[in-house]
Amino acid sequence: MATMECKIVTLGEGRVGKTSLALKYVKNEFHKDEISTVNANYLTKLVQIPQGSVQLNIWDTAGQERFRAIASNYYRQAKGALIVYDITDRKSFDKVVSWIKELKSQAEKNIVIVVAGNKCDMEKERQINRPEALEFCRKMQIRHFDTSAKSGNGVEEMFMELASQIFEANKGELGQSGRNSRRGKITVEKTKHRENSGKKGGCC
Amino acid sequence: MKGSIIGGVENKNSELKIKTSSQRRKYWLERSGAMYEMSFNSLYYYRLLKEKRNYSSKYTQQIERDLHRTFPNDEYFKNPKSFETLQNILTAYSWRNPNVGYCQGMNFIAGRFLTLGFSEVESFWMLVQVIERYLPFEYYSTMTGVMIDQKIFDFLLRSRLPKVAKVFDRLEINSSLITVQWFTCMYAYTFPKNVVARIWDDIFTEGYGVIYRVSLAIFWMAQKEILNKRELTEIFDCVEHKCLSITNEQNFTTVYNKKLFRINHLLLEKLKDTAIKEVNTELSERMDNKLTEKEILGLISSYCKNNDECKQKNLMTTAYFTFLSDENIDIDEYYFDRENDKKILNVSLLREADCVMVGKKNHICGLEDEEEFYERVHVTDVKSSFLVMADDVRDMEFD
Repeated sequence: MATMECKIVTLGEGRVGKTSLALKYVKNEFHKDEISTVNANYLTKLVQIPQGSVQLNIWDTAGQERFRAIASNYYRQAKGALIVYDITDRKSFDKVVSWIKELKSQAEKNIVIVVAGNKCDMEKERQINRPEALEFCRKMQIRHFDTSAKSGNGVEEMFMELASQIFEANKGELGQSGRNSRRGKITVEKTKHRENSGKKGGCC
Repeated sequence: MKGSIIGGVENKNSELKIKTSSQRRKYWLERSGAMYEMSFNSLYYYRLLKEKRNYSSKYTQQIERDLHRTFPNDEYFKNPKSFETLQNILTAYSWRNPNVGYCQGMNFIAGRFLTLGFSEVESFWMLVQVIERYLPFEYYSTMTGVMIDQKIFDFLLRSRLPKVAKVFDRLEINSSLITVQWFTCMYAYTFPKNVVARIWDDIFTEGYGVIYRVSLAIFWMAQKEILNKRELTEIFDCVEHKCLSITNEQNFTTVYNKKLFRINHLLLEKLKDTAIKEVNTELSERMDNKLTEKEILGLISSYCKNNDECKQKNLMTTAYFTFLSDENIDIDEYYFDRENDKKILNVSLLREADCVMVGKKNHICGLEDEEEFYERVHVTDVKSSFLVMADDVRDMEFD
């Protein structure tokens, strides 16, 4: 079976849990005070979905606004984007809007976007009304997930959904031999499974 | 602000005899000019903190987010009081220089000084010196300096380690993906404390140019492995392992001081010129994708609709937009938090306005100081329905 290789980016305000979600998913690690990300980290995982397999190359970016000046590189050619907000922080949700807007105007046309309302283990401190978030995402036709990088809740499902949506959106390319098509490389499956490489602390 | 130059000047005599951490402290403070500033402005730091104690800005919030995420495993930060210390330093700096404010990376630099035994006020002045004397111009503020710097490094990589550069080309990636964090934190968390300290000895002695040499040295050490790599992940892993393996500062110093990595001052100036040109072209290309008037207005109204304060007062006001570059709009209330600073914005008048938007491009008129910018565009004269469109701002005459 062929493997689709694709780049995805994590986006969102600082300290919402972008790195933590990626680390939880790829390495099943969680640190309460994850070191803050400067510029970007890079993680990768091979995902098996019913239709085939997708190698997610995850660019985990810095949350601070001004890194965007140098960060447009990261979502260039990205096939998927994970926009994260913190359910206990109103401002981080407001940022989601501007990210969606930016991606729609600047990124690849068929980029798959999912939104994660992270830290759902802290329900008591919730500031974002859940129905409001769901309604907003429904209007934007974007899948919304409640996640907790701490408990792992929703993390697996979210990345699986992202992977399968990306697969669906790009399967046309898979048929072609395109070894090096610019819009995402497609390679024949390798025997290696990266998720078990057991490397510590992918956080620069 | 004292404009430091990209690259810095290198002197060859780096015969340092630093043995203890207190010798190091003294040497850095003297050499960087921090000692001088400190003795002439002995109360400055405390006054700044006192004056701004009850103020908050978008920076103070960002700083707070990063406090517990700066060297969480270092012994120094096991003491809860140390977070407050770090917070003071970063906050004070954000008030000292609102143009820079706070940028992620600064937390690691300030934190490193603290973990190396510098006091709070010493660390503050060291941070000031680093940003205002050592780092290239426009580094943390708009980050154009970072972009230029990465270009320079890319040129150097091509000439010194062409094989490595070729691998990056083949994979269609830019070395900056790996190096930006090294540069913007001055390796503060790339290496263990002792190695960082040794690198910074050289930086404070010879200047910023050392930064390039260290990155070249890392790639040189990892070269053999990089050449076999077929994927970016593998390169990332391999470089990271290489960095982790560098624990002996003496050995590493000999590597990055190799002749191969030494950079002639004139060459650096030349590279800098080319880099600036290339970055300017890239930036102007990005501006072609600017938002239309309609899109901007849409953003304003959606922001105002969602903003609680606007809802309460039924106003279409309180939105202030910063254009970091034309593709990004940052909704920003920073100036409203500084109500007493009438020089910049007349807040009461602004509050009466129906719709306010100030477009600021990346250092649009070459002004370094935001305050000067606002004085010149007469935002203080704002009455109702004041609207400055991005394009108007760009075309405005400032003389």
